[in-house]
Amino acid sequence: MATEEEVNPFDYSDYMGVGKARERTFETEVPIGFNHSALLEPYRTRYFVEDEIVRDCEIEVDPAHRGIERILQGMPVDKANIITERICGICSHGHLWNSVRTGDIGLGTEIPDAAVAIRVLGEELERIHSHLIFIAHACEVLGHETFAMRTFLMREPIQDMLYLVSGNRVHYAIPVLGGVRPRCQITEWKAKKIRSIVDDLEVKLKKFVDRILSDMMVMSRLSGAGYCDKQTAVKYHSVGPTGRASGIEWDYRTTMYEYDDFDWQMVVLDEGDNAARVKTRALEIFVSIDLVRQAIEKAAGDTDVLNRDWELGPMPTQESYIEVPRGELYHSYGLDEHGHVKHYKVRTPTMTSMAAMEVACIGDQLTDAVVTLASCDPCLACCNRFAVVDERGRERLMSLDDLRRKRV
Amino acid sequence: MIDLLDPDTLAGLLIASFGIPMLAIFFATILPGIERKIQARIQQRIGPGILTPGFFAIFKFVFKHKPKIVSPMPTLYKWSPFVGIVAIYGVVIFTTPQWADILGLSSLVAIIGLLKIEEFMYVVMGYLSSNILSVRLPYPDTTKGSKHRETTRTTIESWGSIRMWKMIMLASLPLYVAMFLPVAFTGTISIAEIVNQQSGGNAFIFTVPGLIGAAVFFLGYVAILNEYPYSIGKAKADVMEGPMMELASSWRAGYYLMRAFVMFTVSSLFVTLYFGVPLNPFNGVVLLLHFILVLILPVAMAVFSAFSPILTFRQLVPLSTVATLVGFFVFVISIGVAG
Repeated sequence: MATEEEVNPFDYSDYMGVGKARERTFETEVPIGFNHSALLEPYRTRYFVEDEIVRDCEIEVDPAHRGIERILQGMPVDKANIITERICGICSHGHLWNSVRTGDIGLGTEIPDAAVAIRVLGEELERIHSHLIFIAHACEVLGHETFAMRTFLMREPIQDMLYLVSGNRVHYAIPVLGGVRPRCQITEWKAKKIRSIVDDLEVKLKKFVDRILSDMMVMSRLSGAGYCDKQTAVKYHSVGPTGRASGIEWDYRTTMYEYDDFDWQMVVLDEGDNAARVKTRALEIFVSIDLVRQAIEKAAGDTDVLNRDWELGPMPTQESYIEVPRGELYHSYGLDEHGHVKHYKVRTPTMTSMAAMEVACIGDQLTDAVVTLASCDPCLACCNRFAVVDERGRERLMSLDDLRRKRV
Repeated sequence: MIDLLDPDTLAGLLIASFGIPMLAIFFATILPGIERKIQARIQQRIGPGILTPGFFAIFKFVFKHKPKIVSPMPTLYKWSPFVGIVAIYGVVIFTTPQWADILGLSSLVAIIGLLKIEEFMYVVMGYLSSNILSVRLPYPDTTKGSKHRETTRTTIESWGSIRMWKMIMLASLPLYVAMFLPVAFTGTISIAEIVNQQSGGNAFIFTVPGLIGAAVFFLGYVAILNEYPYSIGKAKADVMEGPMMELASSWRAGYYLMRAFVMFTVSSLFVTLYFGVPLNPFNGVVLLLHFILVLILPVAMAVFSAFSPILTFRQLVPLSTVATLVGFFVFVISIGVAG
């Protein structure tokens, strides 16, 4: 068995029969998407099946290209930051935080402690609600509407807390260069209210998560399906909870200075199937609840949340990684002498996690394969980075070098 | 032998043939509303009005614009639900006492044959549907560099059809086994005889084999209605609506009506076979009792479905096999009890 170091990411060798599968021609293809009731996001999947068993799979994510990186080119950095929040409606805080964080690091701005805690607070609340959306969506794809509905009900108090902190339920606009917006200060009243909601929510969530994970019929659908072992997860660079469910002990929060003063533990499971990916997220919710409590203690009553002592100017290309609910998020850009953005790049976790699921669904029943793809919590709106359109309709095959030349 | 020239007999036959089915269809349209309301309350939603999903929805669909149905045989496709309704109509009238002596149609064999027609219409519809969300979607995903460019693309409805076929072979089998349990108990396949032998508080349901048989019947009931967890044939996760995907406007109204009618009729069959309470238009108390008891299976199904995910054949094969074997076991026990 190959070690992690020996895995060549560009080698489509015969691991798990994938190489052989791709050399064969199958008689039957079931195309699903991009308009489909089970897909929240517009992607297209071609399943190659033999008696409902998926033998190979191909995913295309083309329909969702929005050209956001191009829009940001030449834009004043503060405007660009707020537009990055619109990349995703679920990880909006993550994108804005990382965009602002990139600028903060590049410009050498010091961030007040309370602002750091409030940024973490926003991210952890977002992680809880994102994971709950995932669980609800997983239940919906499984066909368990009751659990899906109840999960969405469970998510409401999280949205209330985000509203308390920021004044908004979806696009919170918490971070700005130098800290957080003053309206997001955690007053004693807000802290008391959030503590009370969190205490109540934790009790309810524990019962609810236990109910889902002990449901025999739900677990019979999830267990053993969509198996992705650690080696495959490493090969396809599966990130976030998707990778951690396959035994990859990696979470970018361990490297982020913002989390240095927080006490928390990474959730890692070894099973690698759909059940593990659901369990990982369910357990991470409770880690995040604990982090929310700690963030509230650090930020409560502190009015120093914004450092205005910084100047815009030329900034070489700076990069920043953070851990968002779906995994690692990369933002990078530089600034010209007027403080305008150059070469904005965003890399989201779905790109690699989805690639791992394309392999993980091989061997599943067709219905389970759809759950497997959904089990990486795909977010296509932020995933697609480029589109090549040939108006004359010619076919062309682009190599890795071609993509590099185009700086994709 | 029945005398069709006798005015009373003829009147009874006409009422059983037209009055009872009309009453049944009207009552059936309430059942989807009850089902949806129960599920909504379990899901902590208000849910639709009782008459909305089964009754008013039919009128809503009738008055909708009729799009062109894409199918190699559109006429057969769109009339398939109505073929199912006619078959179920037959089941309803053959279970009435007035049809007991006519051509031997009031027997379990005839009823099972008619139910099979309804089940088979899903298979037919699946092969005749070609929705744009499937292979006809104009999307260039077999361009240079894509995998397996020469494969045959199949519609997702045809997969629904294959699954419906598997359901006939496997999942609804417990229903038919459970239908034969009262036969073992009473020693006859005539519906009228089965009812007669259960009169005087001697209902099959109140025996141990009857209770186990009712559970097996219930699983078959959920399966024949393609409800959760047996809705693999129209699983939203992959085949969406499956065979019914291309049905729109009046034709969808027909499907809704067929489903509601099946919901009533199979439950009515359960009441007739297990409680010995027939659909007798000339005994008001018995008729009222029958309609009340008919609610048992839809209500139980609503609760069961609300707490079930869709099961794939990975789970359905062992589940249905066990249910069928239990049914056969109880069949043998029933013969012993009757003996």
